[in-house]
Amino acid sequence: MQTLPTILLFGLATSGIYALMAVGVALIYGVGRIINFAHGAFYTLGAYLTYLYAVRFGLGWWAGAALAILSVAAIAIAFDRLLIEPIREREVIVWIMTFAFAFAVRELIVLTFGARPYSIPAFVPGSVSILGQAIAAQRLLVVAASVLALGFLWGFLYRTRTGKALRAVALNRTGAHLVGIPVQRAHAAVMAISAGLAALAGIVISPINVVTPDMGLEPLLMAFTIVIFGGIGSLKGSLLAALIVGYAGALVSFLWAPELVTFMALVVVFSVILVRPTGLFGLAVERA
Amino acid sequence: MSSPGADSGRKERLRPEALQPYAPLLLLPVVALLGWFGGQPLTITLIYGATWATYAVGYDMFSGFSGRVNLGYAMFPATAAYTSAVLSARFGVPPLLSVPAGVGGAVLLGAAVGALTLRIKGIYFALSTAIVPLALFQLTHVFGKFFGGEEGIWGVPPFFSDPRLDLLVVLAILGAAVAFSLWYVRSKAGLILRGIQGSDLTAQALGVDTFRFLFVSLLCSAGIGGAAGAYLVHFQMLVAPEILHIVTTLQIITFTQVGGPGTIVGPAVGSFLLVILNEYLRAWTDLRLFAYFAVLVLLLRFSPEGLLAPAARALARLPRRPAAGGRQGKAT
Amino acid sequence: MTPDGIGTGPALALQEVTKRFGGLTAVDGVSFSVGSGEVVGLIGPNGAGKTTLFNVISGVERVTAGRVFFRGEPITGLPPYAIARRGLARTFQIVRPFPGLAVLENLAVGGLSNRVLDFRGELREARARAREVAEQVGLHTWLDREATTLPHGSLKRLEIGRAMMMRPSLLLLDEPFAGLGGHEVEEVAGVIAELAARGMTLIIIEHKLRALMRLVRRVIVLNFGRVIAEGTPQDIAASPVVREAYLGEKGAARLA
Repeated sequence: MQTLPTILLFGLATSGIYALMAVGVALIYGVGRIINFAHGAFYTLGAYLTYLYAVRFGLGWWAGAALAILSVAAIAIAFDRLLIEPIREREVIVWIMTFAFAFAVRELIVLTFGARPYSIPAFVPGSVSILGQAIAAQRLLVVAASVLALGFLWGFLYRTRTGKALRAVALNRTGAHLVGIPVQRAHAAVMAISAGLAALAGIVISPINVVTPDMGLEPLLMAFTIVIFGGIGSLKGSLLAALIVGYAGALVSFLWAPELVTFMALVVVFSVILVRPTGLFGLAVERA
Repeated sequence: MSSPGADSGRKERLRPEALQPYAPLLLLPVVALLGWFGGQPLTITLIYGATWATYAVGYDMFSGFSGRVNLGYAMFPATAAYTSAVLSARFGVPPLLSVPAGVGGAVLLGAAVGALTLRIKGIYFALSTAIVPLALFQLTHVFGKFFGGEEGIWGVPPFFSDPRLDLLVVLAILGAAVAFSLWYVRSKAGLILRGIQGSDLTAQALGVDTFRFLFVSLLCSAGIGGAAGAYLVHFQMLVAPEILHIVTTLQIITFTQVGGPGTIVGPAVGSFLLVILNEYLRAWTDLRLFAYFAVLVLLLRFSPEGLLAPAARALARLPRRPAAGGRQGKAT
Repeated sequence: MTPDGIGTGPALALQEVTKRFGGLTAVDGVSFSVGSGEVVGLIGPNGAGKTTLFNVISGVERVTAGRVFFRGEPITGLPPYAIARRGLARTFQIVRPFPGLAVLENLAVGGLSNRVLDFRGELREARARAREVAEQVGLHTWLDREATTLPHGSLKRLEIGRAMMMRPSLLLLDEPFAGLGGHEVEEVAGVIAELAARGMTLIIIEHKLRALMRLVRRVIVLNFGRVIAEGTPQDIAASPVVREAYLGEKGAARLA
């Protein structure tokens, strides 16, 4: 487990998960103008709902996963419409609200499933040999899923009218409103997409890590680290930062200790904020 | 009706009207009596209520007035707690000395964090302050042998064996915190903090060294949180890293929000209410936490100004505030 | 604060002041002086760099090059609050009243020192002085109103009042008439004329040229960050260079 190909692949898989989360956080901030501390809840719900549909409802893993992603997207829309929209302008209250929602979801999960860890079998079992190293096929699935999802997202945002409308809202909300773009629907749409990506991340990684009620905390933290590092407002920045952080994390984990990864991320973010708050590609717009 | 001149100023200070905002402090002896005769469980609940109330007051006197949300406020009680715990449990320093040392530790941290982050605006300030307790949390694990890691530090010497005496002390700390904060925010510092919240740039154009006011206010905020945090360690006889979780600061912000930000008294009362509610819900062990957060979500959704805001403001006789936590009035 | 001296030098002197934002040069080698007690107008088309120039003088932005002297002393690079305390005050084009605070409190902020802990009742004195300033700008009936509820004309007067609390010897006014109708313009012009009569040095950015020309003795014209003309209001009104700056080459030619 020590050689370069393993590290490269692990880093790629980690980056993929982080990218899915970070891009979601970035979109919600860019278009929805809120910092969504509940993003980890979507990630966690993805995994738990998959288990629920696949096992308790007997739908099988693939159908269960698909249904779970749709469910999480629907929950996100409801969350946005019912809880966020009425207080969207009150920044601080939105922060508390998203946190409270995240914890309410967590407690609901504990009530429904209990606090014990769950195991989900790999969607793609077995391992594949790459450059002489045995790599779990699931990890390849993670990479594939991330790349596909991000690719679709990119196509959607840059090649479709709806996507362009969303980007317009991110650039200039008032202007977008004036040209007839339904801003409220844009907020809900972006929430659904981002939550769906988070759910996907939670689902594909869960056979590798165990499923616990708190599984979303670390990806949430890393997502924020990455968005700040890459620059708030820049999707390309988030992607690049996800790669860098993903690989740095993999290296730190191998060379020193897994516990240090979080600390490293925190140090990175803090330094970025102090030295260059706009991050790698961020807009130099003062949102104060 | 004020008129210029120091003489009439002195007369004003002695008039009862000047003391009216401090009237809520009269509730403290009432709480003390309740705790003294109400039985041990109540006493302990009130100790936690008073401690969280002090945290909330410390948080509110800075963030509630300047509008700079300190998402990492837990770092202050936590640093004071760990400092006092390490000094007294590991080095045998008497608690009477280790508690003030803890407060000193919190204030020093406040100075360091303030120097680094206060010049940063907007959400970046909130994010950078949020990071500090997270990093400190990691440190307690990385230096596990010294800080006790996951377990924390046990065997911290208590002050008293009777919790009722602890209650008196924490109520005294709360009283001092409220009295100081009320004075502070009613003095020029409070006015300037409100101005900074409105527009840092305009305040500077009016000669205000905004960094200095924010810095000193942050130090006071740290000291208040530190005092309660350091004392609590000697009641609990332990400190655990959970205190550094983002949840702690979130709780404090929640209590502040429920009580009404920018009123000092509101957050204190809000804290007592929610701590007692939390205890009351303990009977429903399973649903408790869910119910708690669900109630919170509803409160935020339907009562964003804070439940107690109008009452608290009337009590403290502070002028009407704009919509709390909002972007209104910031840009035109 | 420095005492009001009888200076022989200019109140304000700019030497080759330049401000660049990345690739954009907003202020390009601007030099001029303003004598004590002068009332000067600063005009130019939108985007000419007038407000940026004010920002640089008042310390809100740092110069890229050049120096600024106030009453003979260099103030380049000082923070805005330090410059304000020396007696160089400014108003903002978009007034941001402090929300949640009454008019009286909004004014009082300018009368406070930077000592954080107040044991001397500074706030009381500041409020008293704020009352006097409110009289001067005509806001004495609005003292208890929450500042954000003021009508636009009163907001502009609040802005001037706030600056006056700094006891400035030089006041930079950024579009004091913006958004005001005829009657309100008269009111604000009256306040400004009062200040001029009392010997305050004023530099005024304005687009409402008729109202401005009645107040000022000298006009400086900016375009693309450079001074393109300087002179009395009559000279400027007649200047073809200025006409071209506002109307463009073709527009000026059409008028000629």
